[in-house]
Amino acid sequence: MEAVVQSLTLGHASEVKVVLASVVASLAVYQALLMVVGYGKLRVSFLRPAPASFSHRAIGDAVVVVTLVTTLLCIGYFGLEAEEHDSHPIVAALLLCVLAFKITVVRWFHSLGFLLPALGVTVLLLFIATWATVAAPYLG
Amino acid sequence: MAEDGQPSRSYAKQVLGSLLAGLGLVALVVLLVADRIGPTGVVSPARNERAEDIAERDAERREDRFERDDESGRGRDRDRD
Repeated sequence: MEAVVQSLTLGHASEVKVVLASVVASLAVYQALLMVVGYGKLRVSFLRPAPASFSHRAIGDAVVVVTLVTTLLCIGYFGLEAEEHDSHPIVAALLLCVLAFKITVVRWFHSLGFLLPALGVTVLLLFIATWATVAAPYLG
Repeated sequence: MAEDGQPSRSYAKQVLGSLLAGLGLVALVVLLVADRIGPTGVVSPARNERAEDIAERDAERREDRFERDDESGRGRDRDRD
């Protein structure tokens, strides 16, 4: 797995991970904005709630794929063991759990739909926290 | 939606617009982040130093992991491979 990651990233696994984490974190913010429009909390002339919700679902699917690929690369290359005072694996694991629960609610448990706004905000915060714990040392 | 139940042209345009905006955001973030941490250092020599720092940190982290693997016996499997 390490050799695959090395070859895919041309030996720059950390940099690629930081870029991918930044991409999904920024898309998470964009997703939140789309749903603010989707729920009708913000009315803009160029985007109605229905198309905003549709785009939210489409982009969300892509974000999940990129997140899973990044997770696989990260675990395959760096392993599962957390370094001392490194909160990144914990925050990332929490993000995956909440994300999986949110997808479950969206796809199958419609009766829990009232939880979606809270789950969305939690996912957004966890994406930002995951990004901060992985990218801050490199971008700071 | 149009009367025949198909998405209207305006609906499709708005979906396409918001997807393209997302794509533009991705491109912008990739450019900004890659420019800041990229290893080429063509524009700013500071980027070379940053890339070296990252490579060093990476190497240390991987070394620590190998040591832990060796202690737990997994290193022997890697040697055998």
